Amino acid sequence: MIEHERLAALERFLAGAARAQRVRVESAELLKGGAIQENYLLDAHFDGGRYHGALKLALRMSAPSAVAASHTRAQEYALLKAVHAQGVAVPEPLFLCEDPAVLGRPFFVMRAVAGTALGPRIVKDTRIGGDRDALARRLGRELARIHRIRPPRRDLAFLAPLETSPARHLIALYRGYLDALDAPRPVVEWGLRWLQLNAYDGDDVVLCHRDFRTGNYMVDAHGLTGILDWEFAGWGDPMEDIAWFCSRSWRFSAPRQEAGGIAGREPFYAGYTEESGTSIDAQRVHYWEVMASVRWAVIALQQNRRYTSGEQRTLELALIGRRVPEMEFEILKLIDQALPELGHAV
Amino acid sequence: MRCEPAALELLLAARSWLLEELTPQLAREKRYDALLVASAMAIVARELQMDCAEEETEWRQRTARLCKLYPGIADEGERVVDFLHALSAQLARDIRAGKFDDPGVEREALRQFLRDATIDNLKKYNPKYLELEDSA
Repeated sequence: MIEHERLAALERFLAGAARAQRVRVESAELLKGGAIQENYLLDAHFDGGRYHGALKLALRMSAPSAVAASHTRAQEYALLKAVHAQGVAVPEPLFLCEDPAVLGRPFFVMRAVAGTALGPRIVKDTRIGGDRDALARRLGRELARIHRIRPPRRDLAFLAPLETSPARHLIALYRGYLDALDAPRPVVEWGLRWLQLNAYDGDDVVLCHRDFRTGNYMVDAHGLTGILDWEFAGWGDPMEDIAWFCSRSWRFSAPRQEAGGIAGREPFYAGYTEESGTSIDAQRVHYWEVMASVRWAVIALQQNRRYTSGEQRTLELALIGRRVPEMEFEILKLIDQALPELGHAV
Repeated sequence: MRCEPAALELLLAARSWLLEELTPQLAREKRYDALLVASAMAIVARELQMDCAEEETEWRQRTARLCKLYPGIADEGERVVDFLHALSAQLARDIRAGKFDDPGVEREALRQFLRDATIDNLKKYNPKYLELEDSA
């Protein structure tokens, strides 16, 4: 929670950043859902300056403990600025505060967007999000717009350049994570081995969101209002985002709606193709779906370790280890489906 | 003397009470937390139902299947859970090193082992997942 004395410091910061005479924060509500970040919804009132009047803001601050793969708030802010300038539907980034004297940890503030982002609810409740094929198509277009950002970019210099192909880079990374956990997972190893044997030399490196899925975008009654959670974004193969979006885990209770539990793949792929001008290679998406399940299994194991090590005692992290067999089931299933077509090349 | 209801029954009663009586009265943003608690209770109930002896049997079966992939390795009277862990670690290393790359009997046996172990785990931790899978 933001304590009372911190609130006054926040108001002073906002007033300075917005060149307002005074800012009142009338309420600060902690939002659900961030295991890695804390998100607050602020009702603010600006006297004077560019934002004069009432303004709903979203404030994003690091949680007391964060996972290794996550960006700092300053980096996430730079990413938001870059994609906002590209016309991607994201909450408009307004102010960054790196001074820990204000709230104790760095944070940034965005214009709040309305709606819900809860994945299981969006999948189940078809009264929200508007027409589902249109939503999937729109998300395809948004993703293509994100992928227009290519290295090198001075404003995104903090994103590590890739020294090998995106897939080979990730295979090495996830093996390292597994080794650090020291908990043998033969199925995940089987997935990684398959990914290594079937790796291709991707020629296309773009900005990937790397958590582009149902649960990380917001919808209101009519459709998309914003794409959230940029903390994992980085240079990668564009098919990684497509496959992550379609991966079984993010279809929630609607496994047959292969595009994020909201629609078939066709409208999602069509939106992407319309905006990017490039077609989607189904075999490559399949490859990246194996990667998606491997990745989610590794992340879940890491998150579970944060519970068992005592670093962060939340029920969600305690339960997540028992979900790993779901991802392992997907790894085995996808590899079985792929074996006949794909050749071996180390 | 053992108190009634027994542990499992008590746990299921508490879970029903949570879902039917308490959850509907919670504010929307707290309902997700209540469902998480209910989910944890359901997992514990399934694991309680499978008592220690059964669990030991499951581990022994899995170890026996795993030993088939490694002729020559025998259980040397360690605790089964330690032996299984050591064998799994060996298997993970061998998969990474490519020892099961070539198509053939060994690769097929490994594939079958991984599949059986994963389905056993799913049945225990998330049986609903398999039901959705079958209906898809």
